[in-house]
Amino acid sequence: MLKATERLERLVSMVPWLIGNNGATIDELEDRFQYPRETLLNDLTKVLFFVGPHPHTPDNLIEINLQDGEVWISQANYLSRPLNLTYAEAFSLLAKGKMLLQLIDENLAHSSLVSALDKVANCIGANHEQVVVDPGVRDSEIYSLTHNALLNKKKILIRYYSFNDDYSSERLIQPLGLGINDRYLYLRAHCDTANDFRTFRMDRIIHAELSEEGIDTEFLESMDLEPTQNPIDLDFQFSEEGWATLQIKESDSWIISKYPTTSVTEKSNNMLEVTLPISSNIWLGRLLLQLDPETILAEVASGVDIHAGHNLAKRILSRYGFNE
Amino acid sequence: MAAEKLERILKLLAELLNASGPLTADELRTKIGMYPENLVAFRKQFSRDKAALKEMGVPLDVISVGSSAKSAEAYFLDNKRYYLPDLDLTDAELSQLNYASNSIHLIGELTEEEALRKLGGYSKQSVDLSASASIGDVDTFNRLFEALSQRKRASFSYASKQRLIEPYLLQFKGEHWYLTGREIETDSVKSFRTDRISDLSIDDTFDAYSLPDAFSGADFSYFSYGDDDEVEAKVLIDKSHVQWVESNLDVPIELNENGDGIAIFVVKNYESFISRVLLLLDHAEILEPDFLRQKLIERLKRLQDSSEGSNA
Repeated sequence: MLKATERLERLVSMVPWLIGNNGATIDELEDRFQYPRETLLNDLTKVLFFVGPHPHTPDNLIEINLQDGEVWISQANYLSRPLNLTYAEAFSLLAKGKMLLQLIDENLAHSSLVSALDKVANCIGANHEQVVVDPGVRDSEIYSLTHNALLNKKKILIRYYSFNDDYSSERLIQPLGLGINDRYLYLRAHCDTANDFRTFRMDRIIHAELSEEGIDTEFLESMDLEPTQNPIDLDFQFSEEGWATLQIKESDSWIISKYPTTSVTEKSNNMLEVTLPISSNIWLGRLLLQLDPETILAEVASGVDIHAGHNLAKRILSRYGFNE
Repeated sequence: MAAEKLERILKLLAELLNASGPLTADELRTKIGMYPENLVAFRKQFSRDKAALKEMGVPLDVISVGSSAKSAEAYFLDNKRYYLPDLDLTDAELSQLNYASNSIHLIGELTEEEALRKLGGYSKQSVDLSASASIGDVDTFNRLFEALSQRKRASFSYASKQRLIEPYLLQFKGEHWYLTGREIETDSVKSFRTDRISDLSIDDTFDAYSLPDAFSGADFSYFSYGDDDEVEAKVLIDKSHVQWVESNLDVPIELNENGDGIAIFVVKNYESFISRVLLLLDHAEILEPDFLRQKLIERLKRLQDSSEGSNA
């Protein structure tokens, strides 16, 4: 049952259309305005019929003609045009329209969408160029294939690049859903290769092929999964055992707010001594590559490579022809 | 009860749309003839009805009428703002808007079903995309969009600083929305992540500024900003990292026969650029210009020397 305010919103939109269309069938109104038939008939004959400005005499009340499943309205000039769009409504239409333009095939006849967006923007005083959508990874073949796999419940064979270990692996996965964390899009899946659930950053899937094999719905349902639309928790996990203490320059103090540092102290040499958990030796080496070269790796946990930065620098230098 | 409420609000709307000037609450009560006699009950019901209209987007203004000693609040509906301009939407255009509405999911509270009904009808037609994008704080968004549509100045707190901005555009990129506009204090065009904006307020003045002839959104290649002499850097990217570079550094890549790629970057901040290239480890190599290549090599050698010294 629609609430009074939901019926009000439908009437204020429907009456102008009905007047402009010079009548319509009840079936069409029901469908076009999502107005349940019984409520619609009731509101036309028992509510709208009594509406009009003061003094509510027959000559200024709205006139409803209902005959053989068709309806006509008259004496409602003040409702002959719809209520203007709100900023929220106009923005939502523009954003979605822009996103659709980015995703659909350029060859499709979508010029009517471009002109529709122009009209929507104009009616609230904006220019449709003021909303810009860059689909990023959504524009890729891998995104399209993943989306196809999700819709058709198919497994995917992927090659995935692990940023923390600088290692690519092939995996057969059962896709479950996409989610967003910070500025990245993630795919949540059951990894058949690892026989566990995994979260993959979409831009790190290097290659993907659709498998003929369907996902094992019965198995996945038995795992009592969380809803797939929820945001994904973390980009990656820090290990509990791995940590390192660095002496950094003031200019590199951004790492204190970016990573979950466990201690920060000022040293007499104007350096900051920072202890933070680390994810892997590659992760630590990469961090050192981003910091001032004078950064000192003072101490590390057992199992963490004190030469992580040095070794990574050596690897890269080798690419540039330095093979000492 | 619901039918009576609906009839009463429709009559209120009919009075306001037909009024030649502002009407007080008492005048509206008399004309509509459906409100309770009891003054407290009337005010309560009248207040709820006004709220229902406002929530729908009806631009109901309140002004003071009468002498200062006996002034009363009166209600006025600006018909120009109430009515949707004649958009002359074709069936194909309405159909495309419906298609976009059903195909794209904005994560948040926004809905455009009401909008599409205003435009001539909503239909749940078949969908084959279902892409989604997070909208964040819907209220912030709506107000920013109002500001840029009406060219009203916006002030807000961002990165612990109060800013006064002339909004130019809203941009979705990298899973976030950004506002780009001119910051008055610095007279420079800046971009702000909308979910990091707080204490937002929008100035009342319409058309407070003009849009420049050309404007663009946020550029996420930080090395494109800086004081170094501009150079074009040619970088060889391994096949395994082409996709990442394309989607994260927003640069076209030309593939060679074995699938590796050549990317050309415009660089105005050398150190920032070298940091970006180093993120790719030994999966990328600066080919040109030679001085940038040498800078990268020098940075790596200094890191090695420092590492050897500190671990000696």
